[in-house]
Amino acid sequence: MANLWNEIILRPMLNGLIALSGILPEEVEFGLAIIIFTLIVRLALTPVTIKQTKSTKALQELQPKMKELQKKYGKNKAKLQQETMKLYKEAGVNPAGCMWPMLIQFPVWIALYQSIMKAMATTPENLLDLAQHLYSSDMIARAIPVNSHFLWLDLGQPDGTMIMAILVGGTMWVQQKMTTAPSTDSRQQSTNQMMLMMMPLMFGMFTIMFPSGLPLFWLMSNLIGIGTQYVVGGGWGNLKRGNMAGSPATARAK
Amino acid sequence: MKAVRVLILLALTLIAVTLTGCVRNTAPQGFSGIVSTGDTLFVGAADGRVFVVDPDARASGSAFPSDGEWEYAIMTPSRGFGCSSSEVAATMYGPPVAGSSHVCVATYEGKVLMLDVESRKANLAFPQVRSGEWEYPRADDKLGPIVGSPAVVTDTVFVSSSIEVKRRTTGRVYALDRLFGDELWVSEPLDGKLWATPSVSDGSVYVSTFDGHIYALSASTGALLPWSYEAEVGFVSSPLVADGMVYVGTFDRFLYAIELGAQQPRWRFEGGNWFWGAPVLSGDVMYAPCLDGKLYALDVASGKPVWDEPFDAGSPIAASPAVAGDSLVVATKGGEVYFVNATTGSGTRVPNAAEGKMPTCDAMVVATPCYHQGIVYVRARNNVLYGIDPVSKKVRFTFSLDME
Repeated sequence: MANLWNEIILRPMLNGLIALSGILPEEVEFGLAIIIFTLIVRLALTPVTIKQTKSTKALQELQPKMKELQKKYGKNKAKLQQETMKLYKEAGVNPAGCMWPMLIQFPVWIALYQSIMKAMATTPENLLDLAQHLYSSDMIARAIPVNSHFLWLDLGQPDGTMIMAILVGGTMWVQQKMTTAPSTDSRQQSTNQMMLMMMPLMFGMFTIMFPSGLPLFWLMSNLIGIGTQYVVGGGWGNLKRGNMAGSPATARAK
Repeated sequence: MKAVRVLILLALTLIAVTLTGCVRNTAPQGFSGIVSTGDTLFVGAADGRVFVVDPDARASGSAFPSDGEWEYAIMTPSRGFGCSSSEVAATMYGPPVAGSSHVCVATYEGKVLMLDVESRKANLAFPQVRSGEWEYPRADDKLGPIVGSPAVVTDTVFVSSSIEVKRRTTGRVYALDRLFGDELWVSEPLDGKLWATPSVSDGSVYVSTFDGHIYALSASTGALLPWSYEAEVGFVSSPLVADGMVYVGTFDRFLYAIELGAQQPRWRFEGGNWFWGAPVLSGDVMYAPCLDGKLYALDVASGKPVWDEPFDAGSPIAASPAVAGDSLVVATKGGEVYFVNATTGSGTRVPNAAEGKMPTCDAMVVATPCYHQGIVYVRARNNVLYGIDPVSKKVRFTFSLDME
């Protein structure tokens, strides 16, 4: 299984990333390669992302009707489930539609993480390990070792300036805010609020701890996600609407 | 909504698992090895520890330390979260360099230490300056990461390290006084990462860099000598200098033989992967371990293979082979140990002591084995020292270097 993963996903991605860095200007080679590679991967996953965005949006639009169903059949769980499924069917929405695309993307993200970490080969162990994953190619041999400097960052070391932590956390918050649906349920709304803060904070912490090549990938991924969401979702979505519609206070007032 | 929560939990778990894997993979662990001098066997272990072990005591299973044995843990300052500072174990990659009364070690955290055998045996505070102990740089200062071993030649210790200069990774070579650890000279920055063990020959110091240069420096002043060699790709191994030639492996899977002063290699030999470990010279034959899992025997003059077929260990060979009589001891990343006939290239596998079909060692081997007084010593990444009898080709004893 590990071999299959290495041969089909990890090695092509890793070698592609290194080969790409070999043809870019030396001063910025690996940082730019991460950016371009993230862009390529996100572009390749665009159909899946669009499907996910549309499914999420459709589910959000059904929220008022689902709320009504909950009020009507709240005590009869079997009936509620039956009516909910009927509602999904009528609206042509598959609730798993926003789940599967995300799960499909995970292996790609994991492979991209691993590729970046392996390519940087910050320690002798990493370099020794890298040797087992490289194709025999002059282009790749010339690109090794990759130049880990990019802008103010040493991609093989955590960013000590906190700039990346703020950028990663900030963009993640924006992206999540755009996609988090306001809820009239105060419990749901507080869960949403917690997730909205927790994920950016968590990734902000990771950014301080990890070699900054990885946060650079997260940052790019977030920016592309924001762009995709803007185009497919038709604007800034819930970011522009703010908390007004779905804040717990508003919900309680209703 | 329940599905969404499950999804979020799943996502967080996946992220945590993935990132935990990343953290584990980026932490340096070291693969220092074993070196012998006179009657003494020095072992560079994990957790920054240097051991002196008595083979007889280890073979008999006596409690450690027996008479003459000792261990010393090298610690390095660490700054965690907040303002608190603490000490963590140092990391060593190159094997210690031993003399008659002292042993020199270099750490990935950028320190060079000279240990006095008697002072360490007596467990005195480090450094015992009067006994010739020192650390460089002193106090909290440190160099960039040191990956290769120091080279100790007469009264000078040479060590190479990598540092950042104007947002470029550059290497520097340091020459230190062997007795007091005083800095004699520091080379000017050399382009490219420098993870090599310096090679000293005829008053010159040779180092190879990741950006494809071999530099020659004056051993007495550190000045760059007129000759240097530039390849199209980086050098992955430390240079081996012998009889006016430099032998070194490159990232494009070649082993180069370059005559000192020349601008073209005399020969180059292509392997199936990098020549990571230093080759071993024995008469007219060079034994070169390769990460493609093969040990090549090459004619030193022409670079042509000597054996009909290279010895195939079936797993990457990162460690240099050790010479034990008319055999070469080959240890692999898969944990196997072989005795390879130096003339024919045929090999005999050493079985696992507990379960014959399992690899000889219970973990990968990257450190070079050592042949000392009739026993072959191998340190595996599980921090266990294996003592192997070259006659019976069986594991005679194991000794765990993980100790409280």
